Amino acid sequence: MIDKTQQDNDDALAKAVVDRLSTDVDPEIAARLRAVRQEAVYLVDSAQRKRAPWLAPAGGLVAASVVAVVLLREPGMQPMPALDEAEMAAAAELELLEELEMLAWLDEEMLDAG
Amino acid sequence: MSAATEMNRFLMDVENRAFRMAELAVGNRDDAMDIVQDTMLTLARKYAKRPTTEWRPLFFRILQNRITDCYRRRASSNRLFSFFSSFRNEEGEVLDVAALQPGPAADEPEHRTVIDGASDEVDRALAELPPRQRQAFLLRSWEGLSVAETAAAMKCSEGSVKTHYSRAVGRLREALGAHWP
Repeated sequence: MIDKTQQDNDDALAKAVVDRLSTDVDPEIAARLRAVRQEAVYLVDSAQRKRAPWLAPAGGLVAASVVAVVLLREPGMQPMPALDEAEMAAAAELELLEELEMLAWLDEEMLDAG
Repeated sequence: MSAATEMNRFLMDVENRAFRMAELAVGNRDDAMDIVQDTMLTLARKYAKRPTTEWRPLFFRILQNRITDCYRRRASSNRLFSFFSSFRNEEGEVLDVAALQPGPAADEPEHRTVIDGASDEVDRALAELPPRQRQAFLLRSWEGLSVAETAAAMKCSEGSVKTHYSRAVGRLREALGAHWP
């Protein structure tokens, strides 16, 4: 059994050691860590999209509704061409890219704040 | 907040400390970077669905596993090195098989740079601790994991964590001298 004084001494030493430990890494390592983090975030984001496949039909339904409303209100208009799969995929990629850019911006903001 | 944003925030918080822990453990920047990279991607790939409160102990468990794997690889390459070192040529000289020895051994210049180039004695004292003691100390004191979380990360009992931690503090006290608390 460790007595109270011994415990206090151990805690004081541990705190002194930890206070001296640097969490700084050089810019090259920092850049590599940031790149790996973004890859990890991309993996999580992609998996989330795969787990929620209902989002894609829901998006298609919303798009179809918008087209229908436009056609009903303006009968003389030419119908808009439907988005094909490649365009839908490109839109999803763009959305992901914007999210990654937002995360990168968030990084910078947090670094500036910290 | 989306899981991706949570993951970004979590990794940003731990990545530098994880790298420094790995570097102290293996004494080599490239190996440390590989270990942290593998850890981050494994967490994202396999455990992102778990509650965010579980990420920290899981992350450090993966990190410790990768560090242990690195030790094992070095140990087996050292055995291979010893085996080939026993070969001699026709004149009875030991064959030069240094090129077969991958990774830095403790007495190689790159490893010495990490230790000798450390800005203070703390890095050196920590690097000289036995691996399990260093893990227990860093996870408890630096990362702030509870005894139970540390035990989960180290795959040992809570009693073992307390023993490793206590011995680590004792060794650090010896190594750092009387002017420390």
